[in-house]
Amino acid sequence: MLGALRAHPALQSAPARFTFSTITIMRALFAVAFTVLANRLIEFGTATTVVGFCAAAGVICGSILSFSRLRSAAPVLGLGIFFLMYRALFGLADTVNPLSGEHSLALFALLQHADLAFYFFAFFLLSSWSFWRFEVVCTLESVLICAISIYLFSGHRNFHLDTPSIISSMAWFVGVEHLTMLIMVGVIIIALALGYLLLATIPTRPVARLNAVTIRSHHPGRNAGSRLAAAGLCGTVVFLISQQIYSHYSILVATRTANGVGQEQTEGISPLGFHSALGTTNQPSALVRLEGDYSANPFTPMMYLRESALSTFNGYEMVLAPPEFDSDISRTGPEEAFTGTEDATLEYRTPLTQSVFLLTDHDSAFALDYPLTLTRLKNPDPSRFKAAYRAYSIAPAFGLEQLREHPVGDPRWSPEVRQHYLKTHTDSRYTELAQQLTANITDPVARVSALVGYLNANAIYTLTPNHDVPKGQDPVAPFLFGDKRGYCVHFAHATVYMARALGIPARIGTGYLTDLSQAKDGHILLRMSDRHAWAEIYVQSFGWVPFDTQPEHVESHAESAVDMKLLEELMGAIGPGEEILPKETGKEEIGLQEPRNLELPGARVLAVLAALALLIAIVSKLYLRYGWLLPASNSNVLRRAYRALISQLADVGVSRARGETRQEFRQRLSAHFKTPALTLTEPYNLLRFSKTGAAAFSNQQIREILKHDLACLQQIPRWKRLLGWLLPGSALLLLSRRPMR
Amino acid sequence: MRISFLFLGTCLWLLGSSAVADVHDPLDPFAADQSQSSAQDSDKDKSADELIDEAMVLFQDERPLDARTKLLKALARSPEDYRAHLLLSGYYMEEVGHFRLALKYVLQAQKLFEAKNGKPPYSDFMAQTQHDQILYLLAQARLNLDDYQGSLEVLDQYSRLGYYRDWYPGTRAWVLMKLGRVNEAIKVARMGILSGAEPGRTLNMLGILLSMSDQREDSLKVFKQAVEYELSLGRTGRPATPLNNAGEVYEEIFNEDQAESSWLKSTRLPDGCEHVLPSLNLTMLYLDQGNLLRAKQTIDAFESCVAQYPLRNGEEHRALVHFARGRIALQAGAIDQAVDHFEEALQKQQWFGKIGTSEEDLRAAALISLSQALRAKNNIIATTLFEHTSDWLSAIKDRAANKFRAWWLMRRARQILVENLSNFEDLYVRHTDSMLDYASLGDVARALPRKAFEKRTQIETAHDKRPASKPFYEIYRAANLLEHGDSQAGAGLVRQALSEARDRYDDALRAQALLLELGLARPNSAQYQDIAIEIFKLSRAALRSHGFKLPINFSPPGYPEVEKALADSAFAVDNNRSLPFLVSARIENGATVLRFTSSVPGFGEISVTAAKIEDAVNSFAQQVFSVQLQ
Repeated sequence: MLGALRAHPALQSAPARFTFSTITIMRALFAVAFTVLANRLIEFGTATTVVGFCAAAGVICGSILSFSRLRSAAPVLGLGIFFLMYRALFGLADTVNPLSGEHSLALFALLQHADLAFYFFAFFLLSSWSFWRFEVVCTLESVLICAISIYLFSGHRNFHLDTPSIISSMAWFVGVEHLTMLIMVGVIIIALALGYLLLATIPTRPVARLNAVTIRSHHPGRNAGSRLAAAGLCGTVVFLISQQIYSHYSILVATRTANGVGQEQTEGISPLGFHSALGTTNQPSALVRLEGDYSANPFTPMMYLRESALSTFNGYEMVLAPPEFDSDISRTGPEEAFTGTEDATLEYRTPLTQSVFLLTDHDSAFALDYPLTLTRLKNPDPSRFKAAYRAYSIAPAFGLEQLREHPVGDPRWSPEVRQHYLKTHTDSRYTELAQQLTANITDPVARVSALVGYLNANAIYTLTPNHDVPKGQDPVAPFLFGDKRGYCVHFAHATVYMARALGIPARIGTGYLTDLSQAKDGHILLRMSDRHAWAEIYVQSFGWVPFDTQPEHVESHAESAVDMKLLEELMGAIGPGEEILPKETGKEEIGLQEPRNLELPGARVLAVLAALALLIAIVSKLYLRYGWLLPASNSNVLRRAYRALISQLADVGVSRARGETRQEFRQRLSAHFKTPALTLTEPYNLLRFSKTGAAAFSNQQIREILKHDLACLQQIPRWKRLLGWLLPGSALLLLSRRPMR
Repeated sequence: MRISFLFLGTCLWLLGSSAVADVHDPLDPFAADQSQSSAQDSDKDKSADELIDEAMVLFQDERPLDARTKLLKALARSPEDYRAHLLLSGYYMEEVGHFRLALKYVLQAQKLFEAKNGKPPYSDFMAQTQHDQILYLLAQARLNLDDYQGSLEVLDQYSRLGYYRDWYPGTRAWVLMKLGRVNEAIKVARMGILSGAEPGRTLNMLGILLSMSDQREDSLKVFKQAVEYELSLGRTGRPATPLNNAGEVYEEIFNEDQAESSWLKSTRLPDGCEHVLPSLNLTMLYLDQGNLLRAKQTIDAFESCVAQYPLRNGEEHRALVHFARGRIALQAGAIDQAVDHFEEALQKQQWFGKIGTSEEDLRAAALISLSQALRAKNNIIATTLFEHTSDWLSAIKDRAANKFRAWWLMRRARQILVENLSNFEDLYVRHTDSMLDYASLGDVARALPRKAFEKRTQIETAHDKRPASKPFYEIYRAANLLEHGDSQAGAGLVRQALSEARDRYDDALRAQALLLELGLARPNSAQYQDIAIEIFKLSRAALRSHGFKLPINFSPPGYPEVEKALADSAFAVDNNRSLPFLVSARIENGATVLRFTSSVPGFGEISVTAAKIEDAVNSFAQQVFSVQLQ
């Protein structure tokens, strides 16, 4: 078949042929990759291998067709006719459906698969055909590839670029950061696109149109017009895609982000952001394994993991206090060890050990409530985890109702410390509102509950409060005394200011708030969206206790279900679990085999396909060689006889060169064999070109001439003839070696 | 030089040793942790046996995580101890639901047990008891991992060895049912009931099996026994499940009143709101009857009930709740909401479903519904008026995308129904495990090959003796024939179906039949108007969602712009004939005021005011063609 291609003027030179082959292979590979990716996105329901094969076949056929004799509109017409024919065939099959009633729809199922395979074949055939026919298609395709890539990556797991999916799975596998993997893939795609563009535009790139150069040189205006049209089309596509991304992204970013809680751990600085909760994602940040039960949790099903506390009021917000305050906070990084002092006066607490495996970098360690010790652990998998440590905490084990009627603050505090925890906002409105809300309540815990209750009932939780507050001014006032729209940072500050205004020691706790009902086997997957800030009150004998708000009105929040598949995968990675089992355990079990993502056809399917192809090849070969023996009219016998000769010659590598007439070919062969060869040419030419046809030759004469010609072929070495015999693709070879006219 | 290298190496080694001295290996958490309290250190000197004993006590005290930690420590001390493996397998099976891990542990336990005690059978009673437990966990783990054949092999071995526990008949019946051996399963379940093994569970199982083998009357009797048994248990009984199953059987035999009664009882029982199914079934029943308000109230009631359980995240319900809400929204004309709900339903994992439901059942149903919603959305966009060209262009883009997606989703749904769900077994109307909306299943049947579908339908109609199912098959055939151009035969079937459909119970089906008939009528003819009015009475949203217009009278005549805008929207203005729906217009302070009145009782009055005609008409159409369920 490549012989026909070689005959095309544009493919005469070796570099042109090399470029042609390289681009075709690249396009075929791209078609397969596209198919696999598309299947992951929309799930075909048909084996990817079949669709991928059809796509690649479409590319190859399209490329070859564009340089063949059928290079004009024939592919389009051919595909149309083929499609109609095969649909008609199915219609016929439906009319005489031999399947029983219960299975009668199996035909329809087959049609669905065939349709999809055909669409892919046709799409890639036409795209490849037009690629070689029209230079501008190359540019158009490159732009489209880039646009689709951008769209796909932007839409990766609902715009969570680093949450596990294809990119994340690859990142896990290779052992690099998600973002690194994303960049790597992006670079590879751009490099491939550039390489493709480069290859497709180099001077040796063959163009299927024979008069392409003429058109370009003589009609520059027409060329410029088409380029302009292509550029316009590309621009429209990119614009539409960008618009789509922008609108999708603006909605998602506004609703699926963390809560304005950062990790800044510098004294006098706040890790909290007031202006916007945007900027962080829902990515997994840590895995916590509880090493024991925590049934006494007063906040069930929620659990507070404290990272830091903000107790210094700097005039307009709460910031991290100097080390002499908040001594219960570890202030250490996850790689450092910490040993705190157990406060023996604290009651109703239970020891609880947690192992923490960080998936993203953390400036400081976090743990449940009061961590007494933090011990570094060996990182079980450095490609997945940043660090690991074990925390031993004494966690609250009291009922919240037990706090009632208990005094607040610690009697051991010095007046300076007490003052530190009571310093509140200078804006008198906080005090007025707090007093108004707790007018008839004396119990401090009940008063704080009243404040929290007020916020729960009246404020609206939103991730986009959109308060325009200049730096240095109170960012909480527009929330509390304004539209009451804010997120955890606003709620926590408002509670603390009002509690302090009532003389109740309060601070802000920051870290993670997680839902234990989404845990599995004591393993909790923390996400960035779980980052949280909450108010804490010091209750005598109980220590710092969270008093968090749960607003009744929620405009937007970052709720999303935990990825249980990832959680299970990580559970397996940290051990101990499956690791203590021998590797061969359950090797043969059906339920333990991971489902394969890529479906490959079984050996039986491949064998059947191969056998079918071989059968077709053999039948067509036999027909080519011995078709003239079948009863037919004189002219048909002559045609078949000549085809038999040509086919045998083609099988041994002898065929007409481009531009060579049959007569010239006959002369060339005769000179080679040193005897008149291919003498059937004359009657065949008469049949083709004269009005009388080959009427002068009888059936018997034709057979005689053929026998003579066949005898000539005996001069060809026996091994060559044997190889020719064994060659199955004679029909294809014959078709491909037909010279262009 | 050589000495200095050795020294350097030694130093580095020592340095390394000191550097890792405080680093603990998480794979070995059982080693004494010096940083922890004395309570934690107390395990340091304990033997594996002691740790296992403590773990068993902790399990009894409902402290599974503490127990797990003890068992892991025990395993670290004695990796060859099968008991720790066995207990861990039980923990992962019962407490965590991590079946893969449960299977791995029990396989290891089995291997170690056999290494210690040899191959079965065992003469020792203790060995028998523990082997019984191993086989139980192995069968359950394989069952949960969908390895039914593997599970059955274990159960066979269990039976061969002469073991017997109460769980056995129910589990064996379930496995046999999953393998399609329903008659065998029935025998096993009956034997289980005779021997008094877990009567509640086994009766329920038997009821399901009988329903699957078309013995519905017997099935109802068995469910009744199951309900009575569960009620006799008092507070610990769970009668909601057999009641729900009985409701499903009643629904299948088209006894909707009994089905409604069963489901209502089920939802009102204390254990009723733990599962979404009775509420889902009830919702779907009301949707079939066009009672959208009660459908919504039912699903609202379920959600408020399940909210009482703070420890449950509701993951197992979400797909079904979204699906139900989507169908309500679709019928109420809130198409955007419907699309959102169906998208959510497709993204969530379904944990359980109706009798015998697989994930594919919900998937197929949600795909069909989403496709229908997208088509409805396109029809609505087509009748929306745009002021700016950019909006119009954007709408064209949206319509193209919706059209392609709707086509693709319906294609996938058909593929799943035919290939994954046993050659469209759900074509049998109200198939027990199906989540399909049977009234609109004609949409699916439409594109199937004519003869093949005819043959497939004939199989069902030949076996289906329920008279009430007949109009359903006729509608499916009609939709298919009309799609293939045989309008005469199609129209005949539609008329037949309409004459056979029951009032109230089949309102959704009647609406679908009328929509098919409307497609054949000449636009604006008297026939068209009569049918369209009939459809509008049955379903407010259906006309616009299917691209048809509502015939109206318009007054007063002095507003040609408004009249034209209404005609461009979803209304067919005809003042030559007196129609039951009247739209009147007036201009007040520069704003367009549109008012909808009807001579048909129950439609009320709708009034819309907007500055621009386009906005007024769009908003008016939205209100006329939707139902407010608040």
